[in-house]
Amino acid sequence: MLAHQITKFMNIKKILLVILVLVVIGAAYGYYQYTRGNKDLSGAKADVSISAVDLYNEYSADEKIANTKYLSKVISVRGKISKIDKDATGSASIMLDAGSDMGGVSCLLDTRHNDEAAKLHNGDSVLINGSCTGMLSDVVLVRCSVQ
Amino acid sequence: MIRMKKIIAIVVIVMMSSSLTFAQKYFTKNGNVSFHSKTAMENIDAVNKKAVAVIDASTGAMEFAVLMKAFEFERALMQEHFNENYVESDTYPKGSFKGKITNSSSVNFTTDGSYPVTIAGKMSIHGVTNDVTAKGTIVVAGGKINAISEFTILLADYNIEIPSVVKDKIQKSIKIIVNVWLEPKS
Repeated sequence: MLAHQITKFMNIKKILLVILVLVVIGAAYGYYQYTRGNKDLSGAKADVSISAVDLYNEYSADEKIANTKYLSKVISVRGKISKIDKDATGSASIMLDAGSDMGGVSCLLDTRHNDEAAKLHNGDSVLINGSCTGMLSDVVLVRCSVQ
Repeated sequence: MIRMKKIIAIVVIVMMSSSLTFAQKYFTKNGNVSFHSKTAMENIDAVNKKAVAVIDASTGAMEFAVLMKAFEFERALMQEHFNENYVESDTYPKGSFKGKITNSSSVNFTTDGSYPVTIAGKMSIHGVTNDVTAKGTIVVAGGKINAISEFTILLADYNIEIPSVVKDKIQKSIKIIVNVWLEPKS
């Protein structure tokens, strides 16, 4: 009888321990989800690999269709640098030539990769990973890094 | 004859310089627009560094456009909620403001200085357009201009609903901070 009660008690203890572990894992996962930053897309597997010219032309032809294909996707875009801009806060944007006078593909560097701009020059051929946000006068990628 | 040429030359120069000062447009593709929400529970900051802005110095007309997905948050989860649940950026990818400086005659775009301005126009977010007025400052410095403004909007005015579970974490009115450097458009 006593032995039976002891094993029952041990079972409850085991169950409580399992619940405690699950709660801790849940809390840790929740905390991770809540505090995680934006992923560094450098080296990330791209959803789409495309040239700057093709990306810009698809957007110019039909912005809505292009948005359904590319919005929020990780894009690996290749092209020639036509301009490197720095804003007042020092954030660098790399413009890729799209064969048009109206616009190009503008890639805002991820803050973790902002220094990469210093190594780049107009005319360089580059491969850039970034997240597509749509089109204003240019197709705009953010969180970019040079691959 | 020489005199005639001289007069023509002067007229041409005057016309060119006046067209430069009066038809001057200022432009940027890398403007900073951020917003800020603060409650006892949570601070939320997001910044968009790719705002396109145009200001016409002759009329005081101005236009701003942002891509909603280009707002970057410190926390990825907030950014996902912002895009998916609040502004629904797949359906409404852009935000815009079209308006004018109502006292643009008091801004001298060719003389360095800081000029207080009032701006009035229409802002569109989440497929909803509202009238907006705001105070701001135009700083003219070395041929460039820095346009600065802070104003608040009500989320409800733009049909942005905050679920009751997070209503203590997000302010009903959001502060928008505009700080853009524009260069003469060639």
